[in-house]
Formats: sequence, C-alpha cells, structure tokens
Amino acid sequence: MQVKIVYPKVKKRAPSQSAVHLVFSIIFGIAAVVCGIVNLCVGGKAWSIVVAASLLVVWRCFFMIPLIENNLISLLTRITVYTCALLVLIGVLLSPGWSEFVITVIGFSLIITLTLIFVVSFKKQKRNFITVAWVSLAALIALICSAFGLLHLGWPMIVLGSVAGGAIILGTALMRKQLLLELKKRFHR
Amino acid sequence: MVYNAYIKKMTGGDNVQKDADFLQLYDNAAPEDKLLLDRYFAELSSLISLPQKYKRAMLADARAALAYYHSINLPVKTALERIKSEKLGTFYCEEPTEWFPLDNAAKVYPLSMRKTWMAIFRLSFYLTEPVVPALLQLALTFTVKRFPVFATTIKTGIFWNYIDSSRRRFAIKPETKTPCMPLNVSTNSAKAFRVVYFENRVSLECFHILTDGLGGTVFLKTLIAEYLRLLGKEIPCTHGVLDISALPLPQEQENAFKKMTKTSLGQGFVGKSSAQMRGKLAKFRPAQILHFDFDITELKEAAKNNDATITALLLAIMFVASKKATDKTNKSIKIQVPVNMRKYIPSQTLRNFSMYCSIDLPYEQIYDVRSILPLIREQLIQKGSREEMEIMMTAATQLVSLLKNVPMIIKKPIAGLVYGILGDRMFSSTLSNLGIVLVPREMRQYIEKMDFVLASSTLNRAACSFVTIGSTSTFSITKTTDDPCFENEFFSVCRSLGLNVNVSGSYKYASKDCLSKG
Repeated sequence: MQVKIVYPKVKKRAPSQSAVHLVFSIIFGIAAVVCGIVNLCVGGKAWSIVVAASLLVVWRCFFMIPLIENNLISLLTRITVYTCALLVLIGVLLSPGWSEFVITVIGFSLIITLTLIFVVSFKKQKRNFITVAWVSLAALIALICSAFGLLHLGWPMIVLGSVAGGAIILGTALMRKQLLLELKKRFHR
Repeated sequence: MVYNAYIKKMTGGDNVQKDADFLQLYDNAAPEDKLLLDRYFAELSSLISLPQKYKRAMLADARAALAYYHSINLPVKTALERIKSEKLGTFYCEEPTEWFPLDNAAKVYPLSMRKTWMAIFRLSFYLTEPVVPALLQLALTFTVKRFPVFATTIKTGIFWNYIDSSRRRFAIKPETKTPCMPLNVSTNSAKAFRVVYFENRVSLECFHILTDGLGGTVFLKTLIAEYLRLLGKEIPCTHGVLDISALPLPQEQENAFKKMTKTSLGQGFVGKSSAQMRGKLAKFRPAQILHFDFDITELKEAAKNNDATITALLLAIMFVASKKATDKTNKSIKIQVPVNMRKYIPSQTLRNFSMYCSIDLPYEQIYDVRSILPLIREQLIQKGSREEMEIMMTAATQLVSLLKNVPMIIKKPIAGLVYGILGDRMFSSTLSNLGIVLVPREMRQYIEKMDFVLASSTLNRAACSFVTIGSTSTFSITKTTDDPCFENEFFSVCRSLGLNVNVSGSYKYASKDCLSKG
C-alpha cells in the first residue's frame, strides 16, 4: 500500500507523556522515601513529612499546571496557598509559634498584589475577579475566627481583614452588575 | 507619506517593513484611491476595540489582503468592496457579555482532558487552488462573528465548566504541527479551535466542547464560502453556508439534549471491555493519519451488491481488518458509531447533539465481509434506533443531574479516570460517519475533496471517520500504533471488493523523517 504524503513535516510533535515529568516524579518519590527512612532511623522531629510536602508543593506548582484558567491571578494564588499550607505544616511539626504571623502577612501581601493586578489591567482581568473574591473571603473568615478567639488577633490579622474588605468593595464597585453575572456563571449547575 | 506615518502610529513602527507591498500600493495609488484607503482604514480602526496587539494585527491583515489584491492587479475600489469594513459589524468593538453552559455531551470533555490529550476533531477542505493566507485570515475574522460559540474561552465554575465569550483576533496558522494536537486553552482569551492551512487545504481543528462534526462542518463551509467570496466568487448562502452578516440565531446555540423525551429507563454507558488491536502504543500521537479516497459511485455499488448501507459495509470491512490486527481473543470486537440525534429530534443547534451506539461481534463470528453484514445491519437498525438513543440520552441526562451538585474538584479526577480508561476499554475502535456534505453548486467546483479526522484515543489503536463530498468519499484512520496490520488489511479487503482506493496520509510521527529542519 503506497501512501502519498499530503501532510507537512512538523516543527513540533504532539507532546508525549513527558520524560521530564517521569524523571522528576521518580527523583521526588525516591527523595521522599529516603528522607522518611532516614528520619525513622535517626528519630527526632518529623522533618521528612515537611520534605515530602515541599516536594509535593513543587510538583503541584510547577509540574501540574492547570489546563484551564492558568492566568496570572490564579497562578500567584495557587503558589501562595501551597506555600502557606507548607508553612502551616512546618509550624506544626518543626517550630511552632511563628507561622500564623507569617501566613497572615503573606495573605495580605497576596491580596494587595492581586488587587493591584486586577485594577491595573482591569479590562483583561475583570473575568478573573472571582479568584480575588475567594481569597478575600477566606481572609475575612480568618478575621471572624480571630474575633472569636480561634486565631490570634494581632495587627497582621486586622490589616488582612481590612485589605480583604477593601478588595471586595473595590472589586464590587468596579464590576457592579458584572459581578452578579460572574457569580451566576461560576455557580451555574 | 501621510499614510506611512499612520501605519507607523498604528503598528508601532515594527511592521512597516512587512507592509512594504502595501506601502508600494499606497504610494503608487491615484489620489482618489488614497482617499478610499484612508477612509477604509479609519472605519476599520473604529470598528476594532481590542488590545493594541490584536488591533495592529487585524489592520495588518487588511493591508496584507490589499497587497495581495494589488499583486493580481485588482482595482483598489473593487478590493475594498470585497473586504468592506461592514463585514466586521460591531463584533470586535462591543463588550462581550454572552456565556454558554456546556451541553450535556460537552460536559465530560474538559473534565477528561490532559496536557497530552484533548477531544479534538479535524475537518479539512481541499481546494482546487493553493490557499491565499491573507484572504483566509480575513475570511476567518469576518466569519467568527456569526458563530458566537466559537468566539469563546473555557472557564471553570464551581460545579461545571462553561464557555465565556471573548474578543480577540482569531488567527489562522500554517500547518506546522501534528494534526489534532491539544490546544492551549488556559490563557485569558484562549480559543478552543484552530484554523490551519497547507498548500490547497484548509483545516478546522476544534475542541469537542464547542460543537460536533456537523456544527464544525457548517462553520468550515461558511468560512470557505467567505474565503471564496474574497477571491471574487459568487457564493450563495444555501446548503448550510450561513449568512455572516445575519445575526446568530438562539436555536443554533441551544442545548438540544433538553428537547429529548425522557424514558423511564436510562442505561448504556457501561459495558464489558472489548478486544484491542495489537501494536505498541506510540509515544507521539497520532502515530499517523491515513486517508482512503473512494469513488462514491463505486462504494454505493459495492454496498448495494451486498444489500447494505455504506456505513454497514465500512463497518464490516473494519471488523475484518480489526480481527486481523487483533491477537486471538475471547473478547468481542466493538466499534463505536456516533449517531446524529438531529435525524430523530429536529434541531438547528450547531453545538453537540449526538450519541453513539456500539456494534459488537464476537471474534470467532468474524469471517468475511459478506457473512457479517447481516449481523451488522441488524445491530445498526436496532442499536441506532430512536428508542435506544432516547434511553442513552436519558442516562446522560440522569448522570448530569446526579453530578450537578458535586463540585468540580471532586468530579474532575473521577471523570478523567472513567472517561480515559473505562470509556476506551469498552471499544476496539470508532467509526464516525459525517455523511454527505452538501455545498452550494457555485462552491462545489472549487472544492476537490474533504476529510474528517478524529483525535487519537487512549487505548484504541485506530479511530476511523468517513465523509463524502461530491463524488469523493474519504475514510480516515487516526492511528496510535505503528503496527500497519489494520490499514493493510482494510486496503486489501477494499481491493477484494473491487473498490479502487487512493491512499494518502501523513508521515509516521515517531520517525525523524516527519520533523522539519526549520
């Protein structure tokens, strides 16, 4: 059977299951297991869990890139949320007492950054406001929790709450009716 | 050089060199033509309210088209009449507000897509002359506004994905990648389709989330009709060619699954796993694309001689070829056949509206084409009946209702697993028959043939599709293995039935021969 070639030579072939992914997953897996064994042998604090979680964070942030809505706002949010989760883990397992303060500072820094991106390129980012809204809402919930004594109510928490409230008010003022439409789209069933 | 300054302002100066042909035209134009050009670009500019990079590119597109017309000595006035700015309408200057929930069939595609795989299909028209990219680009710019579902980007909701309208320049590209390669749909206004060209072929590669083969055909026909109009041909808006100056109809965007009659029983998505053809799954997919061109009269004659429809005959040939390409097994060979629901429930929708039936034969029962044709014919009638389709549509609707309150974060991993693994295991192959594509008589003379290509699947070694235009029918195979057994046997069975077949296709993408040096 003679096949007449009617397709061009290609510059790029369709991606295969990336060899890079495979190599890194093996390296990360081995590293996590070895750390676990060493940790068990030498005893002490469970630092190997932090190592494994760090590897997972790197994997999730740089190897498992979302196929839909991978914009600047969601990228920054994703990396920050994973980093904060890692800090919580470090705080719980290795050195308690500082993580809540640091995470709160990171939190309001994130909201300020996201709001700046949103406002500066409003036309481009207006349909990504929902991510800013989610982060701000989470920050407000944290503030409410601290008001009830569940979290420490220091100056960073007050700034976090204020910045979150400001971001929501600003977003609502800029979006107006579009915000309702955006919510309708996001929550449609 | 007033216009030179204008272009510098509009393009930021970088593209002036690229516009040399146009500048030559402008410099040599008569004063009245210069006036017409100035007026045209001022109008065009006022109709585009997009980010600067898109606006500059769209103005450059118009200049490229005018430069082409100049090269064929078309008067400026006639050229401007062909690409008149009114064809843009207000589409590129209005704020996009539309959004579309996914139809029932489309809901699974974003859940099951991966970096390396997306449910993409490809439709191509082979023209009688090489493509003029400058005109094809303008044709796409003018055509998209008639298809609001195509001018969208995919977004993630809490419970389902949806498509949100977006405005951008929808660019054509020369074909430099493997067919049906996944699209990057992750950026802010990323589109879910691509239009590529190679020599005399124009192809639409479309993520199934937007439409099915029929909707894609309407889009491509309308695009090609507009392209031919830009070439100066008179093409009427008949035979599925839509009028691009008309407003899109709401019924073209409807989720037609909602029109179905619900049956009390809903079933049809789960079944036993089927036999898979042998051959190592290729690292790069598709491994190869093959097209078998038939003369429709010969094919009809062969089908008639065997008292069968063309679909049944092709299925029979596929079963015989699949048996040859499958190691002896106690499993059945099953071929998935999509069914266009528009034939049962009238609908003008240009979105997905198809279900599928499964034709299966035990391995031992497959001897030759003639012996299995009655069985295939019977199964096609029974399993492709309206009642069976309604049962399956009820199941689809029930599944959507069941999952509608489950957040995406839970749904996505499960759906991906079920669709990618179980879905593919249930079938040995697919045959999607788009049927006879009709185009206006005035357009027909400029179209050589058409082909229809399915995306490669996860496990199935071959996915087949079939389409007819004019006197040429094209059977296409998307392969995921380098093992040539299936297509070789398919070819020999066709020859044994007295069918003349012209085979064309791609390089084997695993080989280094397929890579260009540039």
